[in-house]
Formats: sequence, C-alpha cells, structure tokens
Amino acid sequence: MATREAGKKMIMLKSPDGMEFEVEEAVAMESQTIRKMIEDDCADTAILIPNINSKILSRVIEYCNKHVPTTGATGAAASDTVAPAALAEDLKIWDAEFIKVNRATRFDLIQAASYLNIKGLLDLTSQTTIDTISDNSLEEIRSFLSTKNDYLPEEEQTIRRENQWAFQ
Amino acid sequence: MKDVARVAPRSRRRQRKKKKKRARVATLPNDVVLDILARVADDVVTLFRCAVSCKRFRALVANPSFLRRRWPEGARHPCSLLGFFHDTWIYGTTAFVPVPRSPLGPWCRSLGSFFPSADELFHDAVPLASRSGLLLVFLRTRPDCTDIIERRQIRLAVCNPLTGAWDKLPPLHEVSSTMSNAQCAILTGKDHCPTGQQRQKPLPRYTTFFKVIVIMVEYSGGPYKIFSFSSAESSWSQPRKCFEHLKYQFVHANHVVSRGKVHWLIHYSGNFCTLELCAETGHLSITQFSIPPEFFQTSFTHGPVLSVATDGDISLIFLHKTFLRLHIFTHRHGDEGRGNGLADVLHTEVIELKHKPPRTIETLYMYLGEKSVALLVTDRRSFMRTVNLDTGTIDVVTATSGNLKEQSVVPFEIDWPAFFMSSLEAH
Repeated sequence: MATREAGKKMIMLKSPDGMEFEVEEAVAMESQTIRKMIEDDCADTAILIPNINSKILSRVIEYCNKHVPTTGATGAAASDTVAPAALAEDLKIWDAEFIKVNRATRFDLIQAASYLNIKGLLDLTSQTTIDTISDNSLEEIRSFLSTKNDYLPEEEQTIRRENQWAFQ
Repeated sequence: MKDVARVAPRSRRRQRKKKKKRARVATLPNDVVLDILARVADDVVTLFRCAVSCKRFRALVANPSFLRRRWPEGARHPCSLLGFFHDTWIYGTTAFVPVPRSPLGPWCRSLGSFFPSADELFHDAVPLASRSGLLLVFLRTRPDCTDIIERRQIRLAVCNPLTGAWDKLPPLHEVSSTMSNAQCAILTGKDHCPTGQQRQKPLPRYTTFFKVIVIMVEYSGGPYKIFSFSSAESSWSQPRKCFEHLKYQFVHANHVVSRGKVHWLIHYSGNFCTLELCAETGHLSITQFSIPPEFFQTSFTHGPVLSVATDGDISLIFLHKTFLRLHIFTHRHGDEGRGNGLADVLHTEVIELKHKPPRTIETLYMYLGEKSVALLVTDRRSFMRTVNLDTGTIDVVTATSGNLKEQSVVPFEIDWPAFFMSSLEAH
C-alpha cells in the first residue's frame, strides 16, 4: 500500500474483489481513463476498476509508479528525450523484468492497459506478445495467442495449400 | 514457464484452466487485437499466420482500414520487394533470389519450385516482367521440339509464385522474331481501372484479371509493333505500329506503371524519353526528360532507371560512378502529355549513399522495384546490392545464385494489402 506523503493528493482505487489501493494522483493519472474521470470530477473518494482483479491491478500500479517520473505533463508515454539516457536504459531493464510473466498474466495486463488506456504498458505487453510469436509455426502462434482454431480440417488444408509461402 | 510446470497432476483442472485462458483472450477487444497485430506487419509471414489462426483474427486483418494503417498509401514499403527472378546460363533453371529479410526465406530457389503441380511448364521459362505479385514469363520452346508451327509460336504465361496459380496465354502466331528484343509489361485490374469501378472480370478459364503488353519487331529491321492481351478477352489484339525500328531505342527492360499507363525508357539522339501507353485506351505518347546538358559531364555508371515517385510521378535515377550518390529527376505532375512532348524537369534530388563500396564495384545494371524502396544493382561479378532510396543504405544480397543473365533480372514485388485482402477473403 502506498503511504500518504505530505502535499501529494492521493486517490483510492478499488478492484472488484474488494481490495483497495491508495496511490498518488499523478501515478493514477498515468491511466488516461482515470485521468479523464478525475478531470471530469467523476472520482470522489474511490474509483472502482471493473474487470481487473487485485493481482493485476497491483502490477499495473507498480508499472505506473515506476514510470510516473519520466512521463511528460500530457501523460504521453515515457519519452527518451525527457529522461536522461541512463534513466531510460534503467527503465528498459526494469520493463524487461516486469514483463517476465506467464501468458495469462500478460493477456490480463494487455486488457488492463487497454481498459485503463496506459500507452506505455500497452506497447510493452503487445510488443512482447509479438516478439514471442514471430517466426513461430501456426500451432505455436495459436497457443501463444490462446486462439482457438475454428477452421474445419479441410478449410485449414486449403489455406495451407494456397499459401505455401507462409508455411514453409 | 510457471503454469506449464504446475499443470501435470490433474488433467481436469488443466482443462478448466485452459478454457479460462481462452475465454480471457477472446475478451480482448478488437481494437486491442488489431493494435497487437499492427505490430507484426513487417514480418509478413507471422502476420499472415496470425490472420489465419482463427476466423475472428482473419476478419480483423482482412479489413482495408487495418491494412492501410500498417501499409499507408503514398509511401514505399521495403517489405514489398521479395527478391528477383532471373534467367541463368544453365538450361532449365530460372532462379529466384531473395533480398535480405525476404518473407520468402533466405534461400535461392528455382521458379519451378513455386509451382510443384505445373509439371515442367516453368522448367525453362524466362522472366519478362512483374507487377503486384504476378510474373510474366516466356515459355521457351524445348530444343528438341521438331514441330515447325510450335517453334514459330511465342508462348507466354502469367503466374503467381505466392499462390502457385498460373495462366497460359494463347500463343502469338506467325511472329518470326524472338523475344530477345521485346519489351513487355503486365498490368493488374487495379492499374487498368484505378478507381475500382466497373472492374474487369477475367474469362472463366483465367484465375485473375491481367493485361499483358508486348512491343517487338515482327521481322528484322521492321517497325516496333504493340501486341496486347487481356484475360477478359480470348485472343491477342491486332498488332499496332508503335514506331520505326531504329528511330528510338529502348533502354532494356526498363519500364514502370503509373496511373494506368506503362512508361518505357527510350533513347533518342542523346536524349532520354519515355514512351507512354495508356492501358485502357491504347493511346501512345512520348515525353522527353529535359535534363540539363551539363549534368552529363559528371560520371555515371550505366544508364539511368525509371522510377515512380510515391505520388505517381515518373522519375529518372542515375547512380554516380563512385557509388556514393544517386541523382533523381522527377517529371512534374501534369506536364506529361501537355502536347509538346517535353516535360519540365522540375525536381532534382540527390541521395547520399551511406556506405563506402569496395573498390571492385562496377555497376552494370540497375533494376528498380516500384513499391519498395530498393534499387537493385549488379556488377560485373554478379554481386547484387539493394539501395534503399529513402535512407540511402545499401544491403548486400548474399543469396546469389551465380550464372546471372543480367538482362533478364525482374524485381519481384507484391502489393501486400491487396494480397492479404484477396487471399484472406477467399476463406
């Protein structure tokens, strides 16, 4: 849990499973969705974040906490031009560690980043997904994307036959 | 991975868990899935595999707005160039040489290997021209053929190496010329009718719409004549006279297609001109590049190549002898066909190349892809390089097949958005 610091406005975020997270407003505003709520004065004492469980929400907050100082005033993604190179490098290493999660967690993070509209986190999670699947076979891609093959065997055969270039 | 290690003991639990995971990804909203898929686009093979991983992804990818987002119009895309086909000195081996990072893999292969079911049809085919994934080839008569009529026929085919489909054209009869001095071009439905309205349909016996144009002399010293064929018709058009032999000279295998017109580079008393043929009306015109005479005092290797700028204007590219820069002259849009046959060369651009070449380099031929940014350059030792026209970087094509017949090189490019639409819509 975040502790209250003098002079910093705090925001309470609630997950659907009943956990409450107290975070600095600046950290919460990494999320464009929450920023809009705050700016529109829709947020009173606590903001309920639907669909995101406490485990994922705490990770999202962890990410925002780490990224908040290097973010510009507009809330755009961390910019290398703002942060000194060393700091950017440090963040990159931190990001690489942060994203070492299993597939299910990564998809939950993508979904959370999408709902909360956190561009940096969405970039990181999506790019990691793409990096894992590039150069993989169709079966591996299905498994990594957790998509269900809804083609009939003969349909799939036709696709493979007519597009041999993509299945060599 | 953590979850893999944990699942072993209870299969039921594993199943439940799997279901849960699938449900999770299925709930990712479409725009998030598209955002993920948009990051794959330069790795075209992976994007295609993702697109056919399930029906939902296929529908998401086979969407013009998604495809245009990743491959914006009016820009060149390096991944459009897959490689090049060329004839070799060895009988029966037309080779495909991929450029670095080609989606078709890093290996050289024969043209025939793209068409396993074509028997030996492409065994001795000579590549003539290519456009948007279609390749026009000349099917050489086998040396052991004794049939006189067959020996006098010119047989052409249009093939699609990516899908493995091909169409044989009716033979061109009674032409005593060989194809060696012929100028060819192939156009697709998009070129023929750029607005997309009243798109021409091929006859049922053809797999797709295309138009083939051949300019050649019928007999030695005779005039150049234009022959055209479209897959919407059953036979070749009546030949039309183009111009007298020797009046103009074609700069070999140097043509581009833009705004429904084929432009060939021709040479006439020291000037570079383009011969333009409108695919739809058959109208012919000649436009001269008015390049300042002092320019030719600089040393340039080889002749220039024609190119299409991203907005469709026609350019002429010269490579400096030192291999250190490119000079590009671009026709101002709207000036061609003004009636006086002269185009003002308005725009001159110089691109500095970011690579010091080895001393041995001596450019013999240049071939330009239209949709990609690459200029293929080959030297006396058959080494190929690609020059990126946007960045000036040079890549060495490592997968050379040797035995390169320089004059037969045909860059092979594809219009990925159109290709994805047509191949995904089919399923």
